[in-house]
Amino acid sequence: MRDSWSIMTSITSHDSGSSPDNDSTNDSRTSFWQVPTVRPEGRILSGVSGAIAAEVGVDVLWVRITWVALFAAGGWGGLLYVIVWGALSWTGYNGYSAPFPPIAKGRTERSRSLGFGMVAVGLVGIFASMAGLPQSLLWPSGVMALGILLWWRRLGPGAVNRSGGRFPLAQAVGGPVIAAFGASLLVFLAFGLNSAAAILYLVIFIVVAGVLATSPWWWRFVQNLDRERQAKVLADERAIVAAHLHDSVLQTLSLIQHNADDPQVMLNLARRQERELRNWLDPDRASRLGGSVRGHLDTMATEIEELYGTPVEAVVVGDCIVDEHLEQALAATREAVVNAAKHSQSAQIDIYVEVSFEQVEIFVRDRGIGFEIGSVDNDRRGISESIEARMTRIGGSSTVVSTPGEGTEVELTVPRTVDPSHSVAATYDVAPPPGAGQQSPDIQKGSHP
Amino acid sequence: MSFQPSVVLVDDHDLVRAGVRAELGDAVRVIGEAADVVEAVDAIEDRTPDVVLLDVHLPSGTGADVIKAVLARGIETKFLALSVSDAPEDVISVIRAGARGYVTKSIKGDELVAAVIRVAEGDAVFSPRLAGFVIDAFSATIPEPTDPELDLLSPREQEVMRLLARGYAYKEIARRLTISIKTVETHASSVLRKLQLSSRYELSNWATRHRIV
Repeated sequence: MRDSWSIMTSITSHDSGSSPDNDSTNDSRTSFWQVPTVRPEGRILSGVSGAIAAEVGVDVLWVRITWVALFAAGGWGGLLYVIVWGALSWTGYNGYSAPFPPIAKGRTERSRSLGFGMVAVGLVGIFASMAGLPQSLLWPSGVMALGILLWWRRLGPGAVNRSGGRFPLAQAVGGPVIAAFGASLLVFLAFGLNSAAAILYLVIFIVVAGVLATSPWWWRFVQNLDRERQAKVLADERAIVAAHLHDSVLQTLSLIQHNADDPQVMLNLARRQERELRNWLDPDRASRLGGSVRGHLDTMATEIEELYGTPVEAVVVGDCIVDEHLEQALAATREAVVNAAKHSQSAQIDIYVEVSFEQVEIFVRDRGIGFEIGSVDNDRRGISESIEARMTRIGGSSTVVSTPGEGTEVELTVPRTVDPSHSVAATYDVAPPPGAGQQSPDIQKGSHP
Repeated sequence: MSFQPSVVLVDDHDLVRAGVRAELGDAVRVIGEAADVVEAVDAIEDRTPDVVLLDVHLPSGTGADVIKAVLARGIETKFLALSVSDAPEDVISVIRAGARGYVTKSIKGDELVAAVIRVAEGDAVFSPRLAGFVIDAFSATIPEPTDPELDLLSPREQEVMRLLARGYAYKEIARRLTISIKTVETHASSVLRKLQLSSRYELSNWATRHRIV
């Protein structure tokens, strides 16, 4: 109870932004109204006045005086009293309104009394003006109101799961039957009396009664619709995820089971699946699907991992569409990675690509055995030349730095094509990193042995 | 390495915790484990480890929630995020909450131990990927940095980050730039501080920006 109360108050105090832990004197809680429940203690008739007085925070005497004035104003006050009585008993009965301790609705007792007094005077005024209506309409209206109240009690928000009780049929149809009886009595009397005011009153009453009587049903209908829609959205989403998992993860898992005796195949399958799943989960994956640098590197990394069994990690900063020049640069990158995978004996190969406005820089690094630049065998020189030749053709450059026992790094730089119609910098939010392009000289001399 | 930092493992998968425990071996003392946010905060408060190895996604919240709750209680400990996820928003959110580093679960045992010790000693740990994120996030030009001290990287810091992204270890960076390891660590810590305190839009709105682009 304590918990639910603090939740309620924290909800109501949310508007003013105050903390839910504030004490009960906080102004922000004055907005918190609840439907009170009849108070049997200290009652004269039903406890309706006590409930209202406690909720509003005024002396119960003023509420009683108001009721007397409403009774006196032509008998319609009596009908109002019965309706309020029904409503306030019912709220406590089906737990629709939680019986929280009431919160004072205003800073001072005086402001509350003043507010209540104004409402009371207004009500008395309305009911006094209704005194001109034929008194004979009063009782059928009362019967109809009673029927609607019973009906509501059956269908009300708190009553959704309530089962039939002792006379389920009587409870189910009792309310509507009584309401219909009251309404027909009303119609009969109104037409019998044949007064314009009575007919107008009847029309208004029937419309309001109809809305009131059917509102629980509408309420539930709308809620069910909403629930169904949500369920459908969830189901659709689940179907998409399930379909994807079937095609990818489950298939890979079964492949892994079939290849349980070959650790290398298992490793490759797992790595490939991991990469694929990451791409799927990554909201950025759209850019991989196109001919972006990221996409090309991903494919390349997967292929090389599968061919040589060495993990390849690619980190890309910025991105752009791959044009003919970049395609050549990526082919050179591939040579470098394959070279590392074949010869370096490194446990992992790192690729780092930085795309800026002016150029694309690619670094392929391994921590393998390395080699003396001057003493490479023919095979390796050939690859190195194919990298260099490629890069020179597209106006780029390449540097190979290797230290025996520590590893090798291949650095490729290619200028971006300046043709504005081909420039992707406009479509991709890639700004040049400050300092990009002014490669500091110590990186070049770096770790030569 | 005689220094044996004490560690609390936070991960909702028993298998992962067992695996990490095995990888860590005798190099660190694992003094507690937890599987969700509440358990984690209790365990950390109870044991006060040197380092908390923290998963980014937990059943009842995120790693960032754990960090915030622990920091709010004034407990002195350091966080190293350890996750399978390398989605930018996960990395950035846990680092901005106060983690001293971010490594993915594919990390080798000895590298993980080195990272834990580095974090225990108060230094920052950058995986190549995290360094890549930093470069990307700090490279987008901003019209007017509200605090140039925090919103921009110095040329030297950029250099260190780029080498980290290329897969260099601190030792190798020190040799390459002919500076001491201590200086590399200072640069890394300073970048981490900027990462946590900078008001750069890119850092708080990674995911959004990436979806738009």
